[in-house]
Amino acid sequence: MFINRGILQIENQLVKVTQFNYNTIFDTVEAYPSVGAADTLMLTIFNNTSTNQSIFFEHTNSAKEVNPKSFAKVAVWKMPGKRTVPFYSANKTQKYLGLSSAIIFNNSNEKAFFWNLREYDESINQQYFEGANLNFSNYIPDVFTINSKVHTIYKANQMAMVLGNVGDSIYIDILNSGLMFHSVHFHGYHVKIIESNKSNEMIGWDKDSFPIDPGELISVLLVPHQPGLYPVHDHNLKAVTIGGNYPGGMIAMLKIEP
Amino acid sequence: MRVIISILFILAAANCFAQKVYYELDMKMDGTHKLYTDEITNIWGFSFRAKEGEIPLTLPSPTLTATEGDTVVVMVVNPSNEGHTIHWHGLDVDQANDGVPHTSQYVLHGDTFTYRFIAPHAGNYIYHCHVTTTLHLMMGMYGSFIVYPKQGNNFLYENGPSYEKDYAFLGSELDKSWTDDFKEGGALNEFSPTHFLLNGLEKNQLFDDSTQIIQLEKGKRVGLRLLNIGFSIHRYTFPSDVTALVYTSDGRKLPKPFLVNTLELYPGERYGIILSSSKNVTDYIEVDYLDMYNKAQQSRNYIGINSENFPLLSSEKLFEPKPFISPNPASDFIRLNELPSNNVMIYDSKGKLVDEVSPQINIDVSRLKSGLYFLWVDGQKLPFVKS
Repeated sequence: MFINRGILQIENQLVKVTQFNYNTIFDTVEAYPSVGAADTLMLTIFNNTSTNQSIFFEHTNSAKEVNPKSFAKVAVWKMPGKRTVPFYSANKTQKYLGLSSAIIFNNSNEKAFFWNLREYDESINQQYFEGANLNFSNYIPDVFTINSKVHTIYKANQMAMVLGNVGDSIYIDILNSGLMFHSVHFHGYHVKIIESNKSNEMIGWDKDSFPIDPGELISVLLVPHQPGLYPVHDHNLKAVTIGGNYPGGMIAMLKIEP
Repeated sequence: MRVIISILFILAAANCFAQKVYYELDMKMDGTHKLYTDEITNIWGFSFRAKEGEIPLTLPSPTLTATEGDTVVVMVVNPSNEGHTIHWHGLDVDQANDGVPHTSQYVLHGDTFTYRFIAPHAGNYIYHCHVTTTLHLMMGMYGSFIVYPKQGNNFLYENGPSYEKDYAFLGSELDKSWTDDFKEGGALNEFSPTHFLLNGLEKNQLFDDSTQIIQLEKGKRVGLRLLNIGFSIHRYTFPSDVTALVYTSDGRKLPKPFLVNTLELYPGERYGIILSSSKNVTDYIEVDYLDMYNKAQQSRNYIGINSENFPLLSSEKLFEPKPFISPNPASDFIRLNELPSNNVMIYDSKGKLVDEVSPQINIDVSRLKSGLYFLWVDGQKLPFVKS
């Protein structure tokens, strides 16, 4: 896995980010390794940036240092009763810029999907890459992404599309990598909240709308009772815009066949 | 054969209880709403369709009800100049009835459409327009949809807890600059609420309307239905003499009821609660509005609880958070009720610091342009409007 810097082109906006990729050259597909539930992942992280990076892993509750143009290795195993191991920069700024993801442990016969929610204030990202210290007091995000892509009026976010059939057990792991609180709303279905990396009294509840705090990773189980094409979106309706226009941003789709 | 006949009989009997509930609604963009400041602003919404004449819009739109298992049929007519839909938030309807333009349908100007679905579970739901949702919803195109269990209208769910009477509070916000005169092409992510509502009401409006005051008598139980269709987090804080037991969320029974002192509703969430008290109570539920950036307080409303037929506190100031400011809106000076300990900061609606003054009672705001500002006083963020 590589830590790369690059530019996300989101409609008419260019957002400079740092993120985990599978390739040595920046690409817009974020890395979120999926591993068998009984496996241990041997992860090598290459730091292609000029900044020291400190990557925190929740399974060991500790950070791994990765110097510029260097690499570090870390073993990641499944925590008891947990599907996921979130990992992210221990530095708030680097985390905001995109260094936040998760390793998903699931059985090979399970349908599992990952949504990494993140919002950006394009002007703040620009300030960082111009050498300024970031000031979040005027934070007004205008780019709301899932897996570094957005829904637009012309095209659904293909990186956030959940495919399944009626009666399937579909696991969706949702990470809030941004600074804002979000409220996820499912159309067409209720889902069961099965896991969170935070203290969350909602585990075991059946919900169609639920909060996800900054840094929280919530896993839900969807068992569709009906076919159809349904959106799932942030019900903080500022976040279903792109560049101020609706619809856009944090909208995923469920495509459920009979 | 006997088994089959019995099953058919049971199915037929069950079907006898299921009814068809029929509503006709107009989708309109020509309403007005009186704010607590006595100002009138514009709203859009749904109104019952009148046989003759026209029923004016209300904020929120009228509450719809059904009984669990009912077939709900809602015919909508759109005489307005823009397309609209109804999304049945939480009712898990099929795709054709989901009310999302690009996956379901639009109801265009002059068109009608009939939504059909089964009310699946007793509980609290919301209906709202899903066209340019950020705008249409903020303009008022939403209402509550309550599904009662077959057992009766005094239960939260079938074989669930009962109550003497229920109250529903649908929370939302409004940006007056949008409702007064929305400019097409405005940046929808920059919505900045100026009014914080419960059932369309704010501040003392909630005390002027007796239907919004909870009558909770000693030893009796009241059903409380809380719904959030706003852009902010709504935090309810219950008085110490009142027991609040949460039984349902989003139209589903919880695995285990739980007691709360405070309960936060994020946008789109709903809860079903039973309130009780071992004594007569005259008190208030605090409702704080918190922004989604950092949970900073934006405003506060109070829901009155009055079981003793005492007049609720007459002074508006007693309902205001401490410290409080007046007048609001202000043109020249804002007066604080007590001398602050620290410098007072004034931020504009974008969060930009525009002024900082030494601790004093009277804050000069005469140089500010008209608009929404926030006064930061000893760790509290107090919104005010410069007129």
